[in-house]
Amino acid sequence: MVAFRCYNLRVNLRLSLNNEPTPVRPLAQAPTFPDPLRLTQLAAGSRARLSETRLAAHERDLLTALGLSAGSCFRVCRAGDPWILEVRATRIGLADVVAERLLVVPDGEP
Amino acid sequence: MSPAPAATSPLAEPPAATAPSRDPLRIALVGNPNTGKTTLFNRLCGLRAKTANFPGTTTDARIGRMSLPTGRDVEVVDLPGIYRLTLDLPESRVCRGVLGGEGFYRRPDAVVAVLDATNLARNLHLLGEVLAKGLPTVVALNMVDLARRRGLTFDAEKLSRELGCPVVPIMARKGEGTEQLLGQLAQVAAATAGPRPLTALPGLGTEAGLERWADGVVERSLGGTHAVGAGADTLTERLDQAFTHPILGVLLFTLVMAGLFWTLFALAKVPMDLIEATFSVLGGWVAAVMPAGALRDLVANGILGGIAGTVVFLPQICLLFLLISLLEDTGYLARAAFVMDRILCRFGLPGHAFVPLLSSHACAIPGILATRLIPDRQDRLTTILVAPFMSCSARLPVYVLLTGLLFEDRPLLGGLVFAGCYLLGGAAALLSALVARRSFLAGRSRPMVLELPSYKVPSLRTAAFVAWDQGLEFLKKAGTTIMAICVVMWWLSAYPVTPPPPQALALEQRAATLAAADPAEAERLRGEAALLAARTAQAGSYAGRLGRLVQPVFEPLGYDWQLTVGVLTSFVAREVFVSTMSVLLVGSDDLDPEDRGVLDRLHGATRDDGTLLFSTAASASLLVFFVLAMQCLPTLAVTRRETGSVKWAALQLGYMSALAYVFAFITYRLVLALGGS
Repeated sequence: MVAFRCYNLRVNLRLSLNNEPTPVRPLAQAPTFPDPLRLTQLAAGSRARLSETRLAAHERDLLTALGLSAGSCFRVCRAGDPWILEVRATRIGLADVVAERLLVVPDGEP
Repeated sequence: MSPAPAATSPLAEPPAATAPSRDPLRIALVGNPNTGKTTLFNRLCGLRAKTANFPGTTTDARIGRMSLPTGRDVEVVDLPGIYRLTLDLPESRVCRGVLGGEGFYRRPDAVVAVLDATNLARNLHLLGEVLAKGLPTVVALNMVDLARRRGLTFDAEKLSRELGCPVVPIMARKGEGTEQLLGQLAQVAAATAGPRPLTALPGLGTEAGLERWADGVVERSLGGTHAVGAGADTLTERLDQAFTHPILGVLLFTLVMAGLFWTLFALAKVPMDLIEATFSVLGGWVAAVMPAGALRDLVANGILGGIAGTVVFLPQICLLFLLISLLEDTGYLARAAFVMDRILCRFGLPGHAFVPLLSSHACAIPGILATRLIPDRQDRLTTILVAPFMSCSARLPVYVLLTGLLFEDRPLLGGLVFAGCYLLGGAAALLSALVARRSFLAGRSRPMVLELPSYKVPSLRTAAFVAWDQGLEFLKKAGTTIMAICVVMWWLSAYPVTPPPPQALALEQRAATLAAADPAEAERLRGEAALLAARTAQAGSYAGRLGRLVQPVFEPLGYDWQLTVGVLTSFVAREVFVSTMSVLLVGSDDLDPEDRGVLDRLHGATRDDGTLLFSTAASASLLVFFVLAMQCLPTLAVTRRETGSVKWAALQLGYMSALAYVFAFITYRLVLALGGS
């Protein structure tokens, strides 16, 4: 848990330095959940859950068809262009521009 | 693991007593990409298959024939690999159309859904959509061997009960389980039941419902969703890290591509030389057997030349598709696409475009055919339009000839300019793609989202089928057009037959009188007579007349009528420029562009006004023109076929010709301004 807090702090600092707005936590969400991050802020080996996609409909549909829809758990196999995620038994490669538009919630479970 | 007939499914009912129908049973093969669907198709149908387009689309349809153990004929349609029926992609639209029996399509009698046993949950999403169509379905659970190695076990009977249709575990690559699959299909053929009731699979109408259903099936029949594919694959992890690494990935990609093209050139050269030699012998035989006249010329030069001009491409095309198929089967191509995407996306091209663009260095025709790898239509169109800018092997003799003429005594500079031609072509392709994506094909290349398939040992059998199919398709579709074009261009260059001029006849007479006394001089005179006769024939032909007519258009580029004829005839194929120049200036069509003696004669060749034909400015202008111009009618025929419209071929011709003209003009003026001759 400590590691998680540190990670979030580092991520939030980076967001502030980049003058980019930190994604706002929805009011309905329980306050104990971590803030959604961009996928590009995760490191290799991280596990996370897809929270939201900011993609065109056809791109979102393709991701869903590949098994990556809101709520799906995945593991980051490779960080950086291309991003490689493992969703169940499927390995999905994503260009940086796609990864930037995926908001995820880090999953603490190994 | 034995096949599991579904006890609750109407498909498993005993064969009806009715007489079998004479109509072939129509079966559609459906499945996700990389599930081994095409491997199964090849196992079932072998060479009894043909490739066509689905009506109204450019999507490939493979239709094969086979017989069931009962003797019933079956027509198998290999549908394109899709993730979901509902996606807004051409392949998904085709599958929806075929399964729904819409428009041109006849609704299949049954469906064989090929599922990847190592990734069942995701594959079930598509199966759920297929089952919702209400067609009798048999599930072929493929790659069970791979799944077993990952520690997964399946209860086919349980799965069959869950799905309400027969489930047959198979290993399509080894052919195991196909007999049982055929047995199940025989039951389907005999079944009289109509479409399945949809109520058997509740909740499939929504995304969440489909997911719940798929997870439930896996949970109940396989002991939990995490059982599937949970095993860590460290080799895959390591290979992915290496193949997609920003530096190592590029190095490995360069090595793989160098190996691919070396193999392509090395292996294709032998059959290509054999084909050329065979047609040369055939032409000689026809010339010897048939009486002299127009018919003999048509058969020996026009028709045989046209067939040779088509068939000679075949080894390169078959080999290219064989090698690409092998590479694709290994799982490497998906990783390589990401490596190239980093560079190509800046120019509006997708990472998938690298294979077509690289292939175009051999020949634009297989390059354009290879664009079928590109999923997005806009991306594919852009790649097709710019592929012919890449310097193909047909440009090679022209580059050798012109750089040899330009830099006679400066081979290093000649080499640099030669390499510059390749760079100029590549730069023109990338910049033109950028222009296209900012204007008439506006938009960015589709960001890469790709499934990275498991690494596998490629199947030579599947690759051979792909190569065979593509070769046949090329011969049937593009080949006929190419042959017709070659025949027409031959006719334009050969007719009307112009008799030799009086000077040539006089030289022949002098040679005849000197034959005994001075054979060497007689031979020289005969050579001069042949040159004069060939020049007169070329100038008098329709192509020659057209050259003189069109010459004012090329005047600003520094070309006289002879160079204009060379440029016009090279629209058949670029290398024809060399043979035309050879006929016009040397008197033989067998010119070696690296022969110093011949180069000297070309260098000294003059125009009608006595000035040098290959002046520095005109040669440089020609070189730029040949790098950029769309002088390949066979390529245009393939563009028309692959895009499904003549307008893209016309745009390609117009755009590239205009660009070539403008840059050749600038080059000509620039060289003159810098003091060149």
